[in-house]
Amino acid sequence: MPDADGLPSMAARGEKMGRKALLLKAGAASGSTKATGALRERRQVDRASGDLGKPQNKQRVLLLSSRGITYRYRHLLNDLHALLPHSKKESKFEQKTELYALNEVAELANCNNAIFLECRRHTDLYLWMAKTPNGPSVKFFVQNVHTMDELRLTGNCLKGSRPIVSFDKNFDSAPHLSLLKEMFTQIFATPRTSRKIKPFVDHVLNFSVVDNKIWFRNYQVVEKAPPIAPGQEPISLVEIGPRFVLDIVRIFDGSFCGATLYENPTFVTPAQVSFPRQTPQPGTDKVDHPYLGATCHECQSRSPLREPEECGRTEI
Amino acid sequence: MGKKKGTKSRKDDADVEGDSEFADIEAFIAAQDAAPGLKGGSGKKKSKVKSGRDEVEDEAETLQQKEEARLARELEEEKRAMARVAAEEAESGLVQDEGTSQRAPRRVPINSTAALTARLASIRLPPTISFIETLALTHPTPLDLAPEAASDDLRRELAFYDQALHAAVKGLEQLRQLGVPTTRPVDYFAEMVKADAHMLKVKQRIAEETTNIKKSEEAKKQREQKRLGKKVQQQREQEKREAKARDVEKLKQLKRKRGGGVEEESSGGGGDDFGVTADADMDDESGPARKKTRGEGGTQPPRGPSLAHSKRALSKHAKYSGKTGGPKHGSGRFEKQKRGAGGFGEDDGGKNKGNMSRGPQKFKGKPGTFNVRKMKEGFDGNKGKNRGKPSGGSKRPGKDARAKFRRTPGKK
Repeated sequence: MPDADGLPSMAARGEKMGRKALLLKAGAASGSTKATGALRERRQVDRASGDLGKPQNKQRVLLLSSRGITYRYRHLLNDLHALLPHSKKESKFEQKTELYALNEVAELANCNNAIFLECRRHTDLYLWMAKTPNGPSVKFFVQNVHTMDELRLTGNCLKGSRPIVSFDKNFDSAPHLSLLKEMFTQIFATPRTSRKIKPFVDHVLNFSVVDNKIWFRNYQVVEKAPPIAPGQEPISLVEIGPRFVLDIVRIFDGSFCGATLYENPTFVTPAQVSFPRQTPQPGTDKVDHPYLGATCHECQSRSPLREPEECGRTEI
Repeated sequence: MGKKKGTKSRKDDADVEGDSEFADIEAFIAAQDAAPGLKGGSGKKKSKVKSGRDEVEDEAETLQQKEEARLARELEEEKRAMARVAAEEAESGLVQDEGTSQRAPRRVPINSTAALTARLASIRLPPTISFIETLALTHPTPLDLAPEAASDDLRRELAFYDQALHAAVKGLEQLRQLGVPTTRPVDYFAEMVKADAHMLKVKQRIAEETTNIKKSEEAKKQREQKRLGKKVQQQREQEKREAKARDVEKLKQLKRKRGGGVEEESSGGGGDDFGVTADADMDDESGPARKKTRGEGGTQPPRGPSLAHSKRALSKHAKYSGKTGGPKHGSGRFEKQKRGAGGFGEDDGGKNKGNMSRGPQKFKGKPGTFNVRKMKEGFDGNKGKNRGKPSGGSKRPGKDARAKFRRTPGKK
């Protein structure tokens, strides 16, 4: 005799039904979200639709660096790994030109985001932030890096605690900044479903826009002792670190490939800073190195992965 | 045919050439003219066709006009081509090297807002997502920092601090309402982002810094005090020197006045005791007390002949008698009389037989046999008691003798 869901009843099949199976069955039949057993509750939460049917934020970030990375930037990578409990650190990425292969690495690691630290000329650091496999990606030039090891940065927080992410209102002023804000939220804000999280909230990540650049700070929340003067906040902040400044280079439509959506007009490559461009000699028609980007197999676009001034004579 | 001759305008040209017979031919030729590289040929052709109908001047004019027209059309076409190229470039994202391309115009940086917005919509988290999922907050007011202020560390960091503080307060409030624990209990031990060893180093550094600051402040204070102290010391020394100089001056004055001051009889002179006291004061070598009285200027210098009561005073006088340069004290008639004829215990005529009866003894022995003990005992062999010592009153035993009877040892 079939029961409610059309299958022959288990009793009829002569199987013993354990408590687990009973509960599951009951849950499936009733479709109620208010669970009675702990097991059912857990099952509900694990579903994509999440607790109480609301959407969940599920993110995993792949952390990578290129070869030729220096000690300071390696420490920065380690600091990021410590701050993002939903991140996975992978070995160094060998390729210089065909970065879209990172999408495959991300897929293998089960990640839907990637942060790639590209170190060029042993001095310049570029930070790539991408939503793998299809999403947009951003290339930043990183400046003023201070790692957590610096003794001036005296704060400390739980490893794995979820941060409060604070954004400047300037992020809503331009479409490219809005896109960046969304990407920062998805990459830096720790989701509730991550396995390595700890229960308390004791630090704040701060993103601000000053001088057309994005400034990153990380503060520890210190609760003041009870006798608090009126007009004063009950908490104070101590900087933990790291701190860095991101200068947008380009925003791409694809992940490490694709058409350029936004290009920063004020960005000057460090190569150009140190070796200023000279106009070609009069009378000659000397063509500087033609711009070459790698062709992405998936989107078949010639992606401008490198600035023209970087290829050629200034490249190691 | 009714053609107008000598017309210059293009329109009229068209009319001129609008003859049905020659219209298509002209049109063909015009098209030929537009294509580059066929200038010479088409010109010739034109002239050939026209020569039959037009005069020579008209021919020239129309030629010129045609040239202009052709050039204008060429220019336009080129512009259109360049624009097309630029658009293509912009679309594909290829960059032209600026240094080489004199032909390509400067590229505008890409900012396709429509595409950006579309992309944002495609990746955005569902709007129904709750705060607890992301813990992301946006500050209500934008951070208005001028680009120059970016290099002003303090202001910039304060602005960041304010923004983060606002977000932290608001975020924690919301979490508290949701019932999520935010404060870490004191006994909750877990791995921290920075290791304990590192935090120890941080603490040591802070302690070092505070001690360094204190040390430097102490050193500064010491330096200041030293500087001040030196000044004070110098001032004091100078004062001392001045006071000493003043004292010496006064002394000199006194001596001068005293020595040549027999004529200067004033209130304090005569046979008064004041004179004696003044002298006694002057002769006394004790320091500050003497100085004070002198400084105050209370005592007048003695006037008139000195009348030394005690032998002691006399003997003390005697010390200065030679130094001041004045007449020897005690050399006057009176003094001599008072002293007596000389010798010990001799009668000086019945006047002063007490202390003064013992005048200075005469040494009657051989020269070279002078003995102090003998002096005290008496040269004339008189082994009397206390010769040379003032008589009268009970003799006070010496210190050692007294010490034996002292109840409290060491009492002063």
